[in-house]
Amino acid sequence: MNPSTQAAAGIKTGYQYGFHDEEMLVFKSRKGLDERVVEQISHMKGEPSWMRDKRLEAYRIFKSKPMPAWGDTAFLNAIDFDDIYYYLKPTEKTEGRWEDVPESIKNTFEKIGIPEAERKFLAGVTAQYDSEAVYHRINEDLKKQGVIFTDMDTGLKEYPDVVKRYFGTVIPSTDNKFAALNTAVWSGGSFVYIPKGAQVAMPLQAYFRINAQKAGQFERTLIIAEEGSKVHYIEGCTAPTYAADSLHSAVVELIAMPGSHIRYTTIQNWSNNVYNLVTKRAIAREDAIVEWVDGNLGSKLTMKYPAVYLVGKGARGDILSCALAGEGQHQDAGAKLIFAAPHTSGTIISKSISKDGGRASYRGLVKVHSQAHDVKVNVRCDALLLDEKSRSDTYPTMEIDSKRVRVEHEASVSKIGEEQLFYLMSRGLKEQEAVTMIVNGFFDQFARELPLEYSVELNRLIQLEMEGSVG
Amino acid sequence: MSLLSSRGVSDPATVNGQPSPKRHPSAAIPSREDAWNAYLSAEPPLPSAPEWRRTDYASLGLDRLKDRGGRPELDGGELSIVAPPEAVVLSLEDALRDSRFAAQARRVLEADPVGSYAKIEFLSRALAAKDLMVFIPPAADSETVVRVTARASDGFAFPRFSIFAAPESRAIVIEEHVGASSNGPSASQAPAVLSFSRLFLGAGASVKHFYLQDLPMASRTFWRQTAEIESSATLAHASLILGGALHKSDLEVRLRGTGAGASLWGALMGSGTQKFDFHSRQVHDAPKTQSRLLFNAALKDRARAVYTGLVRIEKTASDSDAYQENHNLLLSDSARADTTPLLEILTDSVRCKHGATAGAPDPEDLFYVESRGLSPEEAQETLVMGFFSPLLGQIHSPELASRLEDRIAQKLREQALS
Repeated sequence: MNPSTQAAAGIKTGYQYGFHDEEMLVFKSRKGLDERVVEQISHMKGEPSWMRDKRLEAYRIFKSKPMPAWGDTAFLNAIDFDDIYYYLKPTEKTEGRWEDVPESIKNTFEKIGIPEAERKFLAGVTAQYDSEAVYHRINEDLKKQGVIFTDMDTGLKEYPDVVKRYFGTVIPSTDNKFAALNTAVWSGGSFVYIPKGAQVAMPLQAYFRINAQKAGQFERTLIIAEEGSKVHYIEGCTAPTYAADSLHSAVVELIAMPGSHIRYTTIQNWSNNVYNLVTKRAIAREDAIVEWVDGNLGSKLTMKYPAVYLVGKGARGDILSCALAGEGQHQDAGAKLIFAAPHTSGTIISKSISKDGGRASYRGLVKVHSQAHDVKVNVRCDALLLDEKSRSDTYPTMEIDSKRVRVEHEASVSKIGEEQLFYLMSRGLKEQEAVTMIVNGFFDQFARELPLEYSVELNRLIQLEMEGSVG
Repeated sequence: MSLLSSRGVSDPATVNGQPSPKRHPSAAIPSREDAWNAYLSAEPPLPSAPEWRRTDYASLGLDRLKDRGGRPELDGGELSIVAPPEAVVLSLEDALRDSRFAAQARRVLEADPVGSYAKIEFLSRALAAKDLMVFIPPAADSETVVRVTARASDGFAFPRFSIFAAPESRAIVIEEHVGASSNGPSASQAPAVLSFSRLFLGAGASVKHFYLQDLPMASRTFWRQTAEIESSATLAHASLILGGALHKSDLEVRLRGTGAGASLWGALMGSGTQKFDFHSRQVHDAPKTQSRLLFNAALKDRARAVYTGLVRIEKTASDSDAYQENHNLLLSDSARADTTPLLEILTDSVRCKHGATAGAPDPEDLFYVESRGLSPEEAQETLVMGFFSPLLGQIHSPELASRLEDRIAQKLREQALS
């Protein structure tokens, strides 16, 4: 049924999304990046001039900013920005009916599992293939409530005022090199607007997939939850396994107005040749709640530190993340909580596993500004090392400028206990099964926060990852 | 008791305060001039270096030295080491000439300054009046007590010393950095004290080291100590930091032999606009090694403390155990604490934990103590003193512990000048 699918050589066993389709693109920018390419992207999309100017300004900032001197500099410096296609257009337009999506792309997404997932469960789905959204649907009931859930390009066309008002206000181009790059060449991503008081009961969902070799994906997501509203957004990411590396550099901005509640869940399962350098940040106003639930299983190097800026009294930010680093992988993930208002609180829970020479790092920041009294924050990092080749790092920073605060941080690193293994094996489990069970248990706190089928999927992915890791 | 005290002016290696040309070609001691030139040509540490992220190198005020037309002046401070007769105290030069100690002296000499402290270390080599070596023989019946005192008046002081604890030796080292006046610190003095010291613990040695920094409030201090610990040797370190406008310290412990252990206790009491930047490194190089660290900071007024600590477990250090804890007690709204406890774990068979907290005294604890009939001020003082008790409990001499307790209480009660 899918003749274009082929297994690439050197695929890590168990990565089920490593297939790729032959490229059948409507448009592909030339390799590398300069002002012409940026202008071309903007022109192809028929954007207003302010967005084109923003892109060009961001491009200049990108050029002027040095690469980060911290983190995994060996991996970072291996990125060749001139060897990447910055814009790939797979289809002429975004389809509203699944039947109308081109056959090859449809096949891909059926393999990943939409729209089955949508039919069963989800309120709305956007699927992005290379640079552009190829399929989009939203539940009628939500439309009636005034909920907007569309891809970012459509958002810019149909709601230019809202986009212009909020775009880049949480993460300006000057924030970091990769945020600047994203602002210059962004394409796709989700635009979500939840009107005052609207409660979105079912999760909104997006799928991102890189198909072409040496491709960059730079989606841009903006979620605005008006006063008293509630939304849960889920994204999943996959890519084929090529010999050449790809770059994924997204920017995600969340704005939680007073009393609103945003939960943002990511299951990142890029193939092991994707650089995943993502900036995610939320602003939480008075009594708002922002939750990041962030799972990192794939990619070559992930650098991602979802942040919540608590700027309104009584706001809360919770970040729960898990990472699994296998052979050749470095999961440099973490979290940031910035307290800038009184009576704010937050928690960070990080769980990581390193195996087969992989490296998992927690890197985090808790900052309590002087105006933020009566702040409570708790950080907990647990790391499990499955073999002597692997590595685990914990790099938290806490800056406390206020007296009436309670800041607690705890971290532990250990291997699987002999007693635990022995106990499980005495119950008739093979060592492999016992280890997998312990690993699943270790991630349980994370899995419980996911919708059921995601939780099942996570367990299955972990099981695949764990195959052959013992003995 | 053998006594060896030195002052810069009487140092034979210089003539009229000028470095002399190489005087020991055979022993290949790098001359002061070489060290001075290395200091001048070394780049100042970058603010991006982990050790200098929170303290500007320029704030140590070392540029003042360069302004004197490239003519280094020697150490204005005084370093004295008092040890019982069984121990040997020598200058680095004398140790090199002594066949019993030449190998150890060369080990010190050949350790070239590297990393972001190199520039300061070259300066210390160029200007320190003496580099003293203390050799502690294997244990007799009791512990060998070594007292190291660095006194600073105004200007710069560069204490440098090394302590070699022979295998199976036992020692107590008490290191005090204080103002020149014996009547305690006075605010009018503004010395800069830059100290480098090294501890070498042979197999099975046991060393208890206590470091007190009670310099005048206006002083700037830099203190770096490295400890290398061989098989089954143990180091118990405790430091109490009270003085200085700026205090920057770095304690590095390397557990190099199987079964080596270190417990590190630190505490500081900050007031006024004092700033403390404290680094620690617990490096596990060998199997079955253990390290523990507890660092507590109590801060009032506008004082600021920065703690950055690294636990690194190398591939070679299986079955190791490390613990690192940092607590910050904020006694005023304007006090600040930054804490960065870091873990780098390169092998799996380990137990490693760390914890950090920051906050005001727990209102419930205060209420409990007040309910026993204490005023709010007394209740707070009781809690703060309790915060220092793990450290004071490490001090072997009850007399010293009680003196320190008084100093902490005194500092806690003092009203801020600003």
